[in-house]
Amino acid sequence: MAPDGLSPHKSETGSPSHAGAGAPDGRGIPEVNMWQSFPLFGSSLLLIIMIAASYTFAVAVSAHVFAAEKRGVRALQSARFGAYGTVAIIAVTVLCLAYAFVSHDFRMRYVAHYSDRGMPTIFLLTALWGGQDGSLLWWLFLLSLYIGACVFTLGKKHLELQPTIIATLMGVVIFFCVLMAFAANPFSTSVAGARMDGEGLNPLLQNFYMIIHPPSLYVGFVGCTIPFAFAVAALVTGRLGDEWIKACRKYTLFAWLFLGIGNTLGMLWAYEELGWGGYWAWDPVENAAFMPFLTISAFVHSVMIQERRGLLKVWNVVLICLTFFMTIFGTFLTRSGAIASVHSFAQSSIGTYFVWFLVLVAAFCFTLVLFRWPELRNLTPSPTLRYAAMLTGWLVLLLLAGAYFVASKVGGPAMTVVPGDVMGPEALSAYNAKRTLIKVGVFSLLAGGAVYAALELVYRRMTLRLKLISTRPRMESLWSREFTFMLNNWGLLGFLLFVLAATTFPMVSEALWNEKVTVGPPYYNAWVQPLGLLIFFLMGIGTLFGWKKTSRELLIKNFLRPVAVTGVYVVLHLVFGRSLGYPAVVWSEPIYAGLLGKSLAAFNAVTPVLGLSLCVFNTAVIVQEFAWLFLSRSRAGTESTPRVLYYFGLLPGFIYTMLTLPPTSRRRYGGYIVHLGIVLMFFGFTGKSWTLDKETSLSPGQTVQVEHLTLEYRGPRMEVDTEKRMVFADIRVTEKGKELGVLHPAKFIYKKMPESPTTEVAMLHQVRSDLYVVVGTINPQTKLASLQIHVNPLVSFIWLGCLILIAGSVVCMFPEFREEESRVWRVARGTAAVTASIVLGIVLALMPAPAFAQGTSSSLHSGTVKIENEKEKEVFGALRCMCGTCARDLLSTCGCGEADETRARLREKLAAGATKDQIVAEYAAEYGSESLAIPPNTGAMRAIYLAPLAVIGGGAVGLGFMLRRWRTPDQHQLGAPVAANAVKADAKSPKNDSYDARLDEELRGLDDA
Amino acid sequence: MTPETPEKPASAGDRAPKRKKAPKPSKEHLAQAAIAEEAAARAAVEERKLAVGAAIAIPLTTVFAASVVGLALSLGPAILVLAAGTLLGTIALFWGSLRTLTGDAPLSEDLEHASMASPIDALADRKRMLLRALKDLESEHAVGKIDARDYASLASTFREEIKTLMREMDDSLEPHLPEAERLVTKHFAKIGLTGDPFRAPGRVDQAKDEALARDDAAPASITTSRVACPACEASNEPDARFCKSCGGPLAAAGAEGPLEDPAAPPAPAPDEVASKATPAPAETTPPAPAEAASEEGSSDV
Repeated sequence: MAPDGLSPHKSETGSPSHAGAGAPDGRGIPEVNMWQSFPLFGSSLLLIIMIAASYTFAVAVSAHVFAAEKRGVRALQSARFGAYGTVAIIAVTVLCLAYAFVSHDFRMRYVAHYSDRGMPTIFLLTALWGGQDGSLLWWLFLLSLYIGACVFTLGKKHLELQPTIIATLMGVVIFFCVLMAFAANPFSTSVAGARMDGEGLNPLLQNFYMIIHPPSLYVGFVGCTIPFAFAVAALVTGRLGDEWIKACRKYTLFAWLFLGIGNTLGMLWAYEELGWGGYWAWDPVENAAFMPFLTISAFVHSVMIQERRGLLKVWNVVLICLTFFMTIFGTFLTRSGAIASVHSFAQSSIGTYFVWFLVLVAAFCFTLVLFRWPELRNLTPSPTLRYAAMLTGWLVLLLLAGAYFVASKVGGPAMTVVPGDVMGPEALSAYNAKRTLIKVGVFSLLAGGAVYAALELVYRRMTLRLKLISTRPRMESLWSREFTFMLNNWGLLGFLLFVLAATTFPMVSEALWNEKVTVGPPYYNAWVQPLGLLIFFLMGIGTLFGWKKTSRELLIKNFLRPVAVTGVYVVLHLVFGRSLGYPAVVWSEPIYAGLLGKSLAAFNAVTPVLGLSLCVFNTAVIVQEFAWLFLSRSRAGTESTPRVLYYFGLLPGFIYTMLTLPPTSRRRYGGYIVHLGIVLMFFGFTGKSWTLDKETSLSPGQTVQVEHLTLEYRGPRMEVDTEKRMVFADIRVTEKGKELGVLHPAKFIYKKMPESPTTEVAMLHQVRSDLYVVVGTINPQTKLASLQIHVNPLVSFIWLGCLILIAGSVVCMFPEFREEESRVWRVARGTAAVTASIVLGIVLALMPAPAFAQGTSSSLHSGTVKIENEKEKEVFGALRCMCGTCARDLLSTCGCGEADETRARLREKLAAGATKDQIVAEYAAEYGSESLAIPPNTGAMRAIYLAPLAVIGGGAVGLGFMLRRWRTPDQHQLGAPVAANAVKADAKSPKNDSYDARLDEELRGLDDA
Repeated sequence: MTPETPEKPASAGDRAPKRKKAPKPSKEHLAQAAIAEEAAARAAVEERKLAVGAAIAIPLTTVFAASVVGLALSLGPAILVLAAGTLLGTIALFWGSLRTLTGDAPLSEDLEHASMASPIDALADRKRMLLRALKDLESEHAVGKIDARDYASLASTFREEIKTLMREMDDSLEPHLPEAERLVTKHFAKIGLTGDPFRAPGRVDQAKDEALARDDAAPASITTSRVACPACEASNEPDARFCKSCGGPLAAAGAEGPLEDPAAPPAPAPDEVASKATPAPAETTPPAPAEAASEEGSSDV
């Protein structure tokens, strides 16, 4: 079959060297008839996936229904085959699209849009996920890989959960199929027929990080589907114990890890390529990727409480549903263009599908949780209780919806003031969609609270006379790890809420108050510091508490050393910080006028010393944990690490010890290693406080002094290759006369788009700080170069932290060693494991290298910004570029032509003696409040921080109530059964010994995989 | 991979009800049925072999062909070959799925006896949770994060709680004990082990442990495979020759390991054995024990 069809494609070898040869052939359309229908074949494959997934879904559901009978098992086995089959057919589809790219089938719109004949093969394959339609197929493909792995590893375990897991996964597959088949078909043909050549991937997107960072994020995003499927299975089958948590633990960790890696790579991409000197701009898309990471981190912690104390069953299920919801919501944000962002794709109808899917998922999870409410609350389940829960939940929801409907009818159209003729029909419908979405969002928040309250009330009444399961979990003390973990959950979720509120605020304010606003990085930067440091602090103290309760002496013992070390550090920093170039207190411009702005600024001024001392504190805590571990091991003589490993240095022995710990401890110490990675990342983030930006223009031979470094501009240099002209500015960097290296920041002028030259960043990485040089303009006559120089202290620690985080996760996820394995085998496996993890680390560490080697890495920002003094910086930092095409860039970073003009205009005003406030006010009057970098601190706009803060505060109060309930012994159960048990224990006291022996034995045999 | 013998009970189990409907099977009919059964079993084995062969051959051939084509021609055709191979695999998988669903293809041995309806055991869940907490406490104590006094008080509350739970579990199993015992003796009788190892004094504990296996798979499997000393009731390693407590010889254990048999996971469940030994008249097996037995089997899967 294959070779026949190949004849027309023979010349297209797909190798890069062949790239230029495509055009002379002059073939836009393959001639052989069979290939005429190739796009149709692809589209029908999508439908086949849908059918296959639907079939598997149906079979899996029947397996669940007939679970008690033999045919249930039969159906399950059939569903497993069906799942594998669905995976295979998805692979076929992806391969077909890959073939279309490799064979330059430009009849397909997607192929024509994202590739051309001159592209190297590797970028042809990158284009698979470059655009919207293909990236959905890629998403589906990753999901199918996960499904395959999941079904395979499940094997014959968890037979009760399997049908529901498969059915849930198939449901998600069906959604993506519908999406592709009806809204974003990658195989759809262009109406105008095939082109001679494609448009090609934007050269700006052809770089190393663009190849790897979206996929690794996707791996994390899609990975969240698996734990979600397990949670749904747990809810459907009612097996809400730790079974599902254990079964999906590795998938959860894997998804968590790749979300982390993806986010870090995204930072790296922004830092290396975007050329504005920072790594995180709080872009909606970045936030969308960050939010599931927060929820899944919270989940990873709170499951530990359920595993040990049986608390928080509802919470865990809700968290994992929320994580899945957030991944879909994030994709929706990226793909639907609902919020302007650097990354956004073209707008399309796809958003509507996502909204419906989100609603469906939310309603489904809501009903399921209501259905299992009795079990989740540890009540003896009865149909009455179930129906009561479901009825109450939906009734409250519907009543609220009805009330809202009536209110909006009665209240009149107060906010519908946007005339349709101004916006045009498309914009109007998009506007309406946004409004609806916002209303739904706000409504569901309120409704969630109302439903919970109603359920509580109903259950209070109903359980007054019902028998409770005698094992209602209780919490003994506030001074326990359970409580700190709950605080940690509260912090993470509060953070999530804050980011969510700020990300969606432009939509909210437009929908509710008809006022367009921008939420720029300054807003986030000011607010997240207190919140982030709070979580960071909780991370440190959490591990110092023991389970159940911690005595005062023990707390003192655990806290003593870390606190002492931190105290010493703070004193040292206060004394020596300034002279070393790291002053303890750094003031920045308050984002708001008035008390709030001042107090925020005051807190953020001490962030440097606070952040660093928390880093020290956390490190001390972790070091203390490891010291205790090794001390106790050497004391007990259980140190079994082969001595030979230590001959190679400390690390191999350490890794071996980590990997050979029993599973539970291994996960704990792996977690500490992850914490260490996070400490290093925070260390890097703190460095941002001391960032130094400098603008200068140099003639050849001139030098400029930046902190401890001397930069000498040697002169411009020009190179030309087939695609572009490159103009370099060679800069020699010396420190105290010693040469550190020569930097080559550059401007690339692509033949395809000569009007917008791209900017190439040059960096000098040092442990202490990165020197980041961007060249603005080079005058061809005078050879005068305008340079933008950033000194970013401690940035490299962020990347180092990520590597350690990966290592820690590997330790957590590592497969178990078995007791019965022989020592030789264990050593061999251990060594192999050590080698493997080191190789993995090195590979990951070297990954950035190709980016430097590759010529095409380039910045999305075509120009550079010239800022002459501090005053200008403040003004430009507070205003947004209003050219209409730059998504949400500030005047201080936007490089477009209009921004240049605006800056020149404002500069004149400044020169004429206007103050910052005057200029900002005038600008806002001219362009509306949208043009301000952050929403003004007035009236309803305050909701952006008040609303999340209120919810966070409410969460704290709720937590307090919850604790009270957990802590007060329950009259229904405590009195009698305990007494009865005591009697029983006395009666059976002679048997105590045998029980003790059995207990010990079971304890030894308890290995939690 | 799957020897011929285990197929028999599977197909026999399927066919048993059908044959019962026939008014009175004559000898010839029986012989014919036996032959047909044999043929069916052989066909099933053939099919399984085919499936395994396809599962190995299709990916290998595809990858091989794709790399050959890729080297000889170019990347594009190689991708097509891969796609074609995957499509073949898809067809094979759905074929397998449909045949399994309709009941034409036999299930594998362990799935045949698997059950998807094992009840939720809140007590076992809770016990596991407490054990985990206790273990955590122990490791924290070992590391020195918690001092001896705190450890002692916390550990004793945990232990007390666990022991109460264990007692509760044992009590809840008490009524089922004779049933389990009866099944086991019956099973031994069937396989011709009349030596009656359960007459040993450790019998109650053994049976209890065994019944426990239903509730708690992992720890119980450790306890069940142990051998009780005939003299002092102390529990010993399965391969021990002398009791670790009293030093007396463990007579039966060393020579022939039948003691471990009842609890070993893949042990054929009684009903299945019954159908193997006496094909036709085994229908007297009541439903309840069968269920219990299959539960036992599944808990170890």
